[in-house]
Amino acid sequence: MKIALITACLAGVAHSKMAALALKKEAKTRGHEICVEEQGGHKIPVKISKEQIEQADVVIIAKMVSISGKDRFKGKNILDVSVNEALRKPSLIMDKAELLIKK
Amino acid sequence: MDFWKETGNIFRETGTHFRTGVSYMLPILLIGGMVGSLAVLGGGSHEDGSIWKIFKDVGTIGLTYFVPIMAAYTAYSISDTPGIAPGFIVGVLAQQIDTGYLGALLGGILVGYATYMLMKLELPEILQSTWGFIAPVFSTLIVVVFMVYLLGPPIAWLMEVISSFLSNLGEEGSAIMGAVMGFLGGIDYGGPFSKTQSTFATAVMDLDLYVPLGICGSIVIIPPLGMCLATFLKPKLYTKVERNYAKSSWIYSIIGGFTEIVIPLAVGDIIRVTIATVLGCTIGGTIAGIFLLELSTPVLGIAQWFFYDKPLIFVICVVIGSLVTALTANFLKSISNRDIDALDAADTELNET
Repeated sequence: MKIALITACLAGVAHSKMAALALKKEAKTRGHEICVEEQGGHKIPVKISKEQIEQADVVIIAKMVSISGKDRFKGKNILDVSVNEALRKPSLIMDKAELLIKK
Repeated sequence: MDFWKETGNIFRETGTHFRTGVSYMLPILLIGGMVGSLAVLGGGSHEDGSIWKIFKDVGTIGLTYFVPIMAAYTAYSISDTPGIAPGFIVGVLAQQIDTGYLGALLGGILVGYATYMLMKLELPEILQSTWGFIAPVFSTLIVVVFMVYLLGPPIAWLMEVISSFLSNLGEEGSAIMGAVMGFLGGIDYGGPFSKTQSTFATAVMDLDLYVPLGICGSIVIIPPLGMCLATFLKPKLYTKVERNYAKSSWIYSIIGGFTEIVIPLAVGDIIRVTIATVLGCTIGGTIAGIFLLELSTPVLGIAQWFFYDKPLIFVICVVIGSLVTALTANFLKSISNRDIDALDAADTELNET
């Protein structure tokens, strides 16, 4: 399946990156396709493209602060988690994401 | 009950909204602080027309407007773009009625909530299209009245108490503050506790108090540097992945100045490492507090070295804190039965698949 992942933390330097890494790794071992957008105060995010959003089966938002551009994901399957959760239990989040699609 | 459900959702996420405000506020504080410090470094002559005077003024702008920006983006977090303008106005007002950052945060939350709810109102079609322009006006009015007459006076009083309390702390009081901040800063590596501590340190800059920031700036280096040091002292107690990470990140932990750098060294053995870093940070923070270490610029890492009023104390505090962390971690690990070989084997297996 295809996953779009948005991570957002306070500064956009450490936590968002690590959460993204953890989930990327988990997605790869399960054979999912994943694209990532990291947000935060000290950087210009590389935006996920419109097509990527359209193709994604599920949107995972791992946030510590509110993300910008929420309305891009209207009508998608959204899984809202905290950055800390993503860091500590990436496999649990992947399980949840898979469940969300099966419904 | 849609109304109550949404209200509940908004207030349950108060933490996220605050953090969003802080996230947007930090860059402004950073610019203001850096430029202002340049002016101080540039020399004492701040007469009209000199470039240093301009730098100083720019610094003051940054250090004044971070409060309204924080309120604006706290409101933005709740009600998206329509919240920014009311939030900003309420933030400026909060400063003018002496409620400072506390009033700005509360005002930001309130005005964000009010804007969100007003924008959701179902109106006749003829009004609906103009409502988007008018709703923020009403929310601003409501919250402004609320702030000035109800919330303002008690918060202003509270700020006065906090301010006079903190500026009359003296060395003993600062030492205790340093210990508490160190404890919070060392416990969760950039999570809610350490962010509470660093937000507090930056917020009281508004009251011209710079000791908390000095404490905060020196303790963030301790966990990563201390743990890197620990792996160098007794490599046998760490897995290959951890050792390699420490080799590549010790320099970054000095110049980068993030507690987060320590996480890869901590996750494998979280309890023991946390005990070690908390101990190191508490002691480091206490030292910084006793000597009233002041930092006037909220910058990270190597840049801050130039802005401490007592650089030597800063170095002493970091060195002692890191040593304590390293020695505690190694001691705790040496009496534990952590099987390094098994962990190494697991790591290689993970890499191969």
